[in-house]
Amino acid sequence: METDSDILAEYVEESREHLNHIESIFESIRKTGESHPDSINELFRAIHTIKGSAGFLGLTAIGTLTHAMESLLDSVREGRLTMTPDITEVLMKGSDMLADMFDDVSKSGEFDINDVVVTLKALNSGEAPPAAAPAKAAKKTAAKAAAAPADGASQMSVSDVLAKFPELAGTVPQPPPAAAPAPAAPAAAPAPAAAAAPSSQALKAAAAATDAKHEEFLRIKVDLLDRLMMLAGELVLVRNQQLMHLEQSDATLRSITQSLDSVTTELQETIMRTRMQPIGSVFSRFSRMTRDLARKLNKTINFVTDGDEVELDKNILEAIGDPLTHLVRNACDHGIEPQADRDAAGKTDPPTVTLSAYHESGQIHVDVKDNGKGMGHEAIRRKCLEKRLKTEDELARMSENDLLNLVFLPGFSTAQVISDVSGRGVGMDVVKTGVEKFGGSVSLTSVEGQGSTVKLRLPLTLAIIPSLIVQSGEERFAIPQVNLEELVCLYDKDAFTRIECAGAREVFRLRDTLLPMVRLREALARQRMFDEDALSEVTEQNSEARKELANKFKEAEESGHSMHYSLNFAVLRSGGLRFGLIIDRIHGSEEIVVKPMHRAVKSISLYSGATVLGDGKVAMILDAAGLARHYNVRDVSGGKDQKKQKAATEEGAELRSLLLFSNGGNEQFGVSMQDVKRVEAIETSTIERIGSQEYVTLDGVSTRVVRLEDGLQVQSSSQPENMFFLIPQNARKPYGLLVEKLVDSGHYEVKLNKESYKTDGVEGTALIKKKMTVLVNLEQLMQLVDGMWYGGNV
Amino acid sequence: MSQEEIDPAQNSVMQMCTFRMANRLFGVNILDVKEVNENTNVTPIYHAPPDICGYINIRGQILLVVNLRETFGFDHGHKTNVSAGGKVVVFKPSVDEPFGILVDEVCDVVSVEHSRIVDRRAGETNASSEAARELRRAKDGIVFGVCPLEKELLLVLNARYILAKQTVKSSEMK
Repeated sequence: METDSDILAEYVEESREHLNHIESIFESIRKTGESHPDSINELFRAIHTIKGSAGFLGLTAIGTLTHAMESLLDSVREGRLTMTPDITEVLMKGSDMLADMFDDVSKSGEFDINDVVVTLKALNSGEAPPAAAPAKAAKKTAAKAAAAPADGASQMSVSDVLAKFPELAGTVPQPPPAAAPAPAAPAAAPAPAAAAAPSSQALKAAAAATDAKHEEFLRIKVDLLDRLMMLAGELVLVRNQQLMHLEQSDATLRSITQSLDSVTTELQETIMRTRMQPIGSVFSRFSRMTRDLARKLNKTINFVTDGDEVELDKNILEAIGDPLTHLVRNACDHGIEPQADRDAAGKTDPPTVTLSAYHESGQIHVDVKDNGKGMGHEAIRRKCLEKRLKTEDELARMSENDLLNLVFLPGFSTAQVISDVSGRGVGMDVVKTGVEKFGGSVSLTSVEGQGSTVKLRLPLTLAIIPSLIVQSGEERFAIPQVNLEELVCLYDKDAFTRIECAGAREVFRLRDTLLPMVRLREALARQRMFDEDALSEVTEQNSEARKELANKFKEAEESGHSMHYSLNFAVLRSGGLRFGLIIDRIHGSEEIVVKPMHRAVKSISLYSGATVLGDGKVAMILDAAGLARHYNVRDVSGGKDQKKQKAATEEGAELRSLLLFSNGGNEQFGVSMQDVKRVEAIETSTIERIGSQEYVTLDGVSTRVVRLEDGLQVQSSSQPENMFFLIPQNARKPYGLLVEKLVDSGHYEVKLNKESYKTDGVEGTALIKKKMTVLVNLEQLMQLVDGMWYGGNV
Repeated sequence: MSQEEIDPAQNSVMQMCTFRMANRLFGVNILDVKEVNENTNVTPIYHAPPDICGYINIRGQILLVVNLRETFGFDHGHKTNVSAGGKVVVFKPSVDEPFGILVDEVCDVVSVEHSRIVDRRAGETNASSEAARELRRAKDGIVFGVCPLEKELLLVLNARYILAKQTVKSSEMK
């Protein structure tokens, strides 16, 4: 048997795949209510494959069960039976049982499969469809159903007798028709089942299998793919070297190099894609889960999925399984209310749990939605007070959204809380941390009485992350973009006057908040964690340096020279903590491939990994949380209340990162930060006009200038000399939006109002910084303006 | 264990890749060596133990480079200029996670009979506990033994223990 263990493992793996497939077919049959002959064929083939190897491996129980399922399917296939819901039900039961058996295949023989096998056989032999009633009965007791076809008219009486005298059924040697198939099946089926397979049935199945679609897939080991990916990376570097040493004069060589270049790029992209898998593979497992849960909870729950084809990195797919399980279970258990309550509330729509996935601004969104009872703000408020998570005062100042998102607080989620409050919150903080671990985020919206939606935002892939490359001393470091909020550059005098000392720490007043500062150079130089002494030492040294610098400036001023100096820092966020990281230089952004740290240096908290930069040099990836810990950063942003409220806002359902701007007049606009690639300051005199269109040249590319007033009914700009040019992230053509003034950027809680100002190119309006702000949809606006131009020309 | 150790009984002749470091001759089992590379562009890892030079990139793979001079204390606290010249002996993945050691110069491949290697660890078997023995072995086990050649002594290193020491160190630090 030991020699077979590999074969067995492979068999189990394969069979699981088949079962998944079977599951999805059943789902579609259930959904549409009808069965296509093709899907029946597919079911048959899958079951048959499982059966074939089961016999070969001596797994008699699996063999027996699959044989019975197969026979039944064969009857359906040949039109002797029609696919009634009862048949579907029992087949599904069979495949569920198979799945259980494969969980521990060595014990598969211990499963009690008799009931199902008998039912299957009974349904199969029920040649003339024995109406609905007996078929239903078949599900309940094998004996009844088995008796039915054989006994014809007297069936009811037999089963009645049996039902009334269950002990009789046990002691009396069973009604013959029932007894025969039950024990006989396991005895007769084992080897013969498989051995007898090469009958006409098997041949037919084999013939059918050859033209099956499953040849399109190949099972590949993940480490092989990883290796392939690494090799592609090496190839890229070789190509880079080749490009560097290329003699420009040699035309043939140049064209060869060019094709090498494009092939390499394509190769790399393709290999990246192999890691991407449709999210449907994760979704499909929930259909069974909801079905089981619904049965257990005595509810009928519709399970709907949308966007199954959306692709995600394999690692992320694996990681979201657990959070999603949590959420779906919550939705079924606590979200959807019992039918009686629904009726009482006058809800006529069927109870539904929806899982949907879609792309939005470079991220994948997954929504778990139910149309159940939603969450009561009042109940949350009460529970928070009871648990002393918040004070009454704090709660009073919270928006409804903030309140809702309190369920993500650790400590909110204990079993009692759930049943008391609204039935939500089991491990919501677990879900949150789980999703945040790989760079995603969670938010919750809910309308009492109408249902709740949990939104997950996930990165496309873990392996490649956009990041900012900065320099400190001689070395370059990568800062993941997810941690990065903004970059600040202080010029000349500001560099030494704006950074202040607060106790032993350096702080910077960024707009309304105090930002603790971290000097990367110092953090790198000191291996021990910073204590107060180290901090004050650093602060002192730097204030000395600042004084010196101030003196130099003074001298320069006095002697009439102009002196320039600048200081850069990046505002990083990790968890609820924000701090400024002072760096020597900013190099720009790069997409990096993250490699884990070597075992021997893994314990260093400063880094989350390493990467190879474009020029082939290794750079360390900074870990914002570790850096903050090492530097002993504390929140200096003010009072406790403010902090807590901020924490609550961070969890806000519609917390969005926006860039706010104005365009003449006092109208305020905002765009999603994710949609903006970069912002250029331009002089309006450089704008050229061609016909009715305006262009500005950026990096040698003529970029079309779009003005807000071109597409929207807003005030025109007063055309000052200096304006700003927003370049969108995913534009198909070189475009940019010209705006007059940048107001601010940051995370704002957005409650989108889609009604008050509705026009194309606009998402809606929201109250931001106490001002009505029009949220512009860049892509739509560009299309709109483009269309008008073309419309005008044609 | 038997696979990790250099088993004297198994093979009487062992081929050593030898290299020079601080004017001493060292050797490692050639079967552990993957390749020898130029030492280029080391990225330092701040906060790493002193005998870790940093990372280098060899054809897209990130490799940890260890400076054994520091490990053995050859430079008496002088910080070696790791980016200047030298070679990196890269070990096979079977030895450890990808790493290499910085050497001054790579010399010949030498065949050595096992019987000629004097095992330094022979007297260390009476350590008090298994854990203590393990720790000691990790610390001292880098030098497997000494082998007298015609002109000089060859220090035989066991590559598998080079970073084992690091792991012990970092766990000590915690």
